[in-house]
Amino acid sequence: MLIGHQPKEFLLAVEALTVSFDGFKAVNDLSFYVEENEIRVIIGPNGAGKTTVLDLICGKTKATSGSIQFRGQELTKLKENQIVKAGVGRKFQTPSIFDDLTVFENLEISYPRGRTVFGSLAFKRDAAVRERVEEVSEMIFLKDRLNVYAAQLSHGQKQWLEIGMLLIQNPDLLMLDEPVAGMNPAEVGKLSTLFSELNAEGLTMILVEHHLRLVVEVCTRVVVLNYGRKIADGWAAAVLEDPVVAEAYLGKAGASEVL
Amino acid sequence: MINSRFFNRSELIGFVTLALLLFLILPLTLDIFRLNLVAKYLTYAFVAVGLVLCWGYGGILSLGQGVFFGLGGYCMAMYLKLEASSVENTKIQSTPGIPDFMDWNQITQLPLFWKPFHSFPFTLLAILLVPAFFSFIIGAAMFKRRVGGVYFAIITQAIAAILTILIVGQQGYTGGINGITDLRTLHGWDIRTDHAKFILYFVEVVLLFGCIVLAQFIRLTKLGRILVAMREQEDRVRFSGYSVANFKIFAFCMAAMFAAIGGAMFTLEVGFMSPSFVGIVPSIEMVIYTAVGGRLSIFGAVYGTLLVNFAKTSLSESFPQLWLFGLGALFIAVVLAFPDGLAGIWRDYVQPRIDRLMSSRKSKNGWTDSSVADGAPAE
Repeated sequence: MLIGHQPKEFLLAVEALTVSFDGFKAVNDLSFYVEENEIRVIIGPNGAGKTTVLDLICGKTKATSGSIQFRGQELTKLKENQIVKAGVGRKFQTPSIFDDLTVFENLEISYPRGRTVFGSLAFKRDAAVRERVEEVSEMIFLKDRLNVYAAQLSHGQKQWLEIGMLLIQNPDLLMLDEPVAGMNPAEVGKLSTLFSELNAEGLTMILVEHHLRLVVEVCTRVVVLNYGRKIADGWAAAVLEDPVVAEAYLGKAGASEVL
Repeated sequence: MINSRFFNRSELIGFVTLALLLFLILPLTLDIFRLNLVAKYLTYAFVAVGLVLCWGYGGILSLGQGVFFGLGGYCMAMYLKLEASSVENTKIQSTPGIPDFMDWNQITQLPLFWKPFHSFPFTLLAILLVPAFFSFIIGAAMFKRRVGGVYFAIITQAIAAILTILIVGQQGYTGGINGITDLRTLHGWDIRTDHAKFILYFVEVVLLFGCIVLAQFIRLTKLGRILVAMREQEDRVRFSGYSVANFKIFAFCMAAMFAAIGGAMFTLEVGFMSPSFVGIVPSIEMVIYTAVGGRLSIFGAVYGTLLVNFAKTSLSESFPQLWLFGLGALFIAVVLAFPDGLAGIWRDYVQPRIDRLMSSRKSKNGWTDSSVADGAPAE
């Protein structure tokens, strides 16, 4: 049903994407389309290639073949930092933050100004930067911890900090790899609230998730991967009831228990 | 806010102490022979300060800083040698007016790449730009291809070996294993007199402080924080929109230029330049100076250089065979026991005691202790 669309109507169009590592196809002929202002979830069993898909979109891994169009711009030919400038943000599975810098400095580095060598030499910490850092730190519940070294944060706070570092970049597309890993149920709730708010403001998101509660709470549409191939694509409720998905992702017996 | 001042309190103390030591105490207490020795040691401090930026902050371990030290030194030596090889000074040669070693190697014409070194302004530019050019090429070739860590260190070491072999092999153009010797005057000013050595010492210390201030400036800009960030999470920096390679190239070029200034000063202080300051062993020694001083401390690097060199001079005079073992043992000991070097020892053991002393005195005077809010950012 999606095939007839023109790619430029979508924020992100992934078409026939394949990557092979020494002959092993981690992602195999994958196509999916993400519309503006959508929250798209990628699920699948371990090793299905979910993280690899994000790696391909953000430029960490180079595609063997296929295309990734973001607002009509081909991403497979761009470098990581150019993809960031195009408006794609990426959160990693384990929090990747800068331990030896303070929370403020962590956020400041992601502030989208002075990204060249000489730009960063001339960079001034002015009112606009301070304001934005404080604004974002409030969204991620770290406002009172701005001068703390990131190493001293708890695991959950580190996850929040990395999300904050992405938000301060002002991306158009935010990709998050299991953002709730290591968060307690209350924090998961806060995070899905934040996602809904951001989505209401127009942010498009791709989530890789194991956590089914979050999937059901925030998602609109789901792509299911197995062995690098797409096995289902559609609305969450429908896809999760699909017997093929249930078998691949949850195992035959487990399917009925979880849902 | 942290970093709002150029030096925080403990850095200011470090800066003033080092300035007092180098500008006043050493010149007043040492005879000119010893002072010249200190001057020679301090030429390595330029390299060490550069390594603090490049290795300590940026995490780029270069085992080939001798290359840049040598390039700077050779540029200066070429200028001095040409000045010392005037036609009347070399009239006994079969080709007067060219450096003596060229004449010995049956070269009858000054090679093309030597000619611009007749000009002093060109030489000064070359001292900075030649190493900058080479470090840029090496950096771009390596970092754009994401070669880093141990591989980069090994490659820089190989380059140090290659340059040594090249210099030794091209005797007619470079002076070979003996280097460029018998240097006499700089722009007509005799650099061999005690008075000249005294002046050169101060020129060098001023330049060193210039480099220290520049390094401190870089450290406090966002670029300095990006270097730290890169050392820890290269990918996160990349996915924050930065070209990691460009920042690494910058740090590597800065370190190379600092090293080259040191090399040029070395030539002036010591009066010759030879491949023995270019190769693998001197390059590794330079890394050891930085490690002993504390690779995250700009001032520590200077103290580390002085300390190791004093130890080297006194030990190698009495036990010449044992020195290299001693140096190796020192390096291992520092890495295992004091990974932050002298600066770490100061920060962990000496500074807290001073602070306690100061705060108890302050509270006696009824002052409130505001230094707690100072928040010492990593050295």
